[in-house]
Amino acid sequence: MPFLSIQFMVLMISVLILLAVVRDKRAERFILLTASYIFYAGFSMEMLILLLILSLFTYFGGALVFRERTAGRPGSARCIMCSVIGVQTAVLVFFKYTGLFSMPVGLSFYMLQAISLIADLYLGHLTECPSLPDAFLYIGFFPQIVSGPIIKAKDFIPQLDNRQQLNMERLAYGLQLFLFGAFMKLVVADRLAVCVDKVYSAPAAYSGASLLVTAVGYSLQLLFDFAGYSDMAIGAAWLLGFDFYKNFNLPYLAISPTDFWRRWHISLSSWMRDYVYIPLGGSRKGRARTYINIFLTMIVSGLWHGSTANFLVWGALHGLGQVVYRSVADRNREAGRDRILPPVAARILTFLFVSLLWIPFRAATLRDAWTVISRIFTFRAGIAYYYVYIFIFGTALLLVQAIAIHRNDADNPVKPLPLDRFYGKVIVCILIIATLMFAYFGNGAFIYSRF
Amino acid sequence: MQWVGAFAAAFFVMNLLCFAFYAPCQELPREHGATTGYLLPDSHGVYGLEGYCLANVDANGYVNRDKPIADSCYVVAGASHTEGLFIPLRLRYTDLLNSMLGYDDELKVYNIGRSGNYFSIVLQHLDGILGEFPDAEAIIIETDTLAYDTKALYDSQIQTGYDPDETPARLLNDMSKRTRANMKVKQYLPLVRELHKQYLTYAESQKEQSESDILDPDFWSKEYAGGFEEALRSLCSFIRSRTDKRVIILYHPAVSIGQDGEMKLMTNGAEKYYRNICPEYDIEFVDMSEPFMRAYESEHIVPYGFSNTTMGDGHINRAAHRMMAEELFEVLKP
Repeated sequence: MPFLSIQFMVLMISVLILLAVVRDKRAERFILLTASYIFYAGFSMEMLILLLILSLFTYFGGALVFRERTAGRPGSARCIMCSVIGVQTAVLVFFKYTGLFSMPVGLSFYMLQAISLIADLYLGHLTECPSLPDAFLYIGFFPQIVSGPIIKAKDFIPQLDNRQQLNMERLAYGLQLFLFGAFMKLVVADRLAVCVDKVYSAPAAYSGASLLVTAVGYSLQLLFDFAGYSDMAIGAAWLLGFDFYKNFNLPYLAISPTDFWRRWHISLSSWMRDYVYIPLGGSRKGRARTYINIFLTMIVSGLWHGSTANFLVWGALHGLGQVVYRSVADRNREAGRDRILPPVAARILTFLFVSLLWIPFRAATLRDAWTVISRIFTFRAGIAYYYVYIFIFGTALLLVQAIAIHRNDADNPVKPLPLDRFYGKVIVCILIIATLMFAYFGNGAFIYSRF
Repeated sequence: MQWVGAFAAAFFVMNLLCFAFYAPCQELPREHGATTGYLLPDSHGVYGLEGYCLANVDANGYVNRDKPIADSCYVVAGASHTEGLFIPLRLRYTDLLNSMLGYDDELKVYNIGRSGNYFSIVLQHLDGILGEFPDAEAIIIETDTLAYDTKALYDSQIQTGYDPDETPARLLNDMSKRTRANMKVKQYLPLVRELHKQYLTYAESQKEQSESDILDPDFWSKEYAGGFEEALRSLCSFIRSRTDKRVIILYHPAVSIGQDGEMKLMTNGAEKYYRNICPEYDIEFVDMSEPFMRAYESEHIVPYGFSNTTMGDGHINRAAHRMMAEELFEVLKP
């Protein structure tokens, strides 16, 4: 069941009404769990069965880990944790890499959450073992099951007992976030996809300059697609009484590859840091080992994104970029200098680096990626095609970024509209009409739901 | 109450925006004439969904500049490509051809293109064209496909006829109050029209896509082995039985950009039959296949698509209009 459907609207409204009526925590959980499984069953019943089996396995695995840890048997707890995470990873790898079955919707996302539950129980981040419904709800919570954001168990499960009641303020904020997300997805990302899909289907036909503009267009498309989805998910969760962190913070304002990952898909970066980078040793085992850990973490991130060589290369190059940046930054610090480049140059360079690496991320094959890159750098002649919406949406983003730099310390300056004021209401209405008016109804699948 | 006011203000702002983005001309459907309908005479429209154009509808209900029609003009009929609501008026192939022929103050080339008036529909309105433009020197019929099978070629000969009383003024006069009100709403509230169009697009996107290939080679090889040639001869003969004026078929095939970077023509192969048979009936056949391929191979020019859509899809662009004007000029130059 996609977010942007009548069925989803009906489901959300029904759940909100029921949650407003009941006061019992157990009934609340039952409503949320039922809604989550109705939502997920909208994709496929077989996928729902797999979700239930994996949730059950995770629950029992977690209970065992918790029992062993609290019984003072860390070795046994560690052994069980490794086994459970091993099985979870194997299931993910099986579906992602063998290609024997189609990839279940959201598996990559809810499996990371399932791993988080096991790890948090082992690490003692959860003081109590969650009940069966809590564990099931955490893994299958419908606003974020398809494409995240990836919420850690320690951040979600405690909220079940302290779920916020819906009030006017929460309603206004949640709806605004959802609306902003829908606008970013339907109007901006899907319209940019028209150009990007066409050009990447035949990159050998287009001129180097056209491919360069389209590469920038894909950078924008991916941002607005995924940030749009994340805002919708966070908005929906907010309406249901859960507080999720923001998943994007103007990533193309990053001043380094490291900064980029603090701003892009923040929930995944944070997951990778907590459950891959730090267990590998983080920065505690010397400089060389730190660089290796960063590189390995980005390789894992690349492999998580996809099963083709493109994603491996993309992850490796991102890892390499971070290692190079980190080593230069370390030397710079030792030399007593506080920055490598002026902020504007650093931002442009980081954007170009990230956009260049989005090319293998988007291209169908490495060969296609090479075609795009080589044509750009050799200024090859071809079809001259400069999609006008890349310039329009790019300019709009630049404006927001400029405001962020000048007024908000490079953090996202977009604040909820004051709905108690007339102009706030007018802007919300304009946003609704603009979304309906300019929405592109073609292939509207969320990019990240493929991963 | 404040929300109602806010919605009204937002609606007003967005409606205003529509006048710069998409405010199409009003249509006046008719049954017995040169086309399936007029546009509201002396009106204007804005089309920004594909390319960008400010359209001007002349006093006769066709998209043309406000200039007198020359004696013995060339009437150009066709669908949306000819109507050309995607590029500025002066850059359409009919307007360019008019200038190339040396007519600046009058319209030697008169455009009666109307969206949806495909090849077979234009042919069904042949009597209408001849009745409405009795002094025309030549009739030019534009088409982007020749995928009309034997049955369609025979059906094209069924005429809708011509009724001289079906003028824009008469149609407006006979219009019901409800239709008139509907027109006013569409004219002054283009946002309503745009939202309705968006709804239809959304509904269409929710339907299961059925695969139908009108260029299916198996189907066409059976057609060519059957009565296709005879049907085409019958059509040409029919045209000639209706008029001894100059008749030109202007064909511009669709294209696709392959993964290898090459441009391919999307054709069912019927052009060779038209090329051979039409001259036998003194009907000229102008085929844009070669000019299109030449332009792509030498300058990477794609004849379809705009900078706000995609290359190779949709309607012909400025470059194609120019090429078509040049090809027609070679045929029509004094």
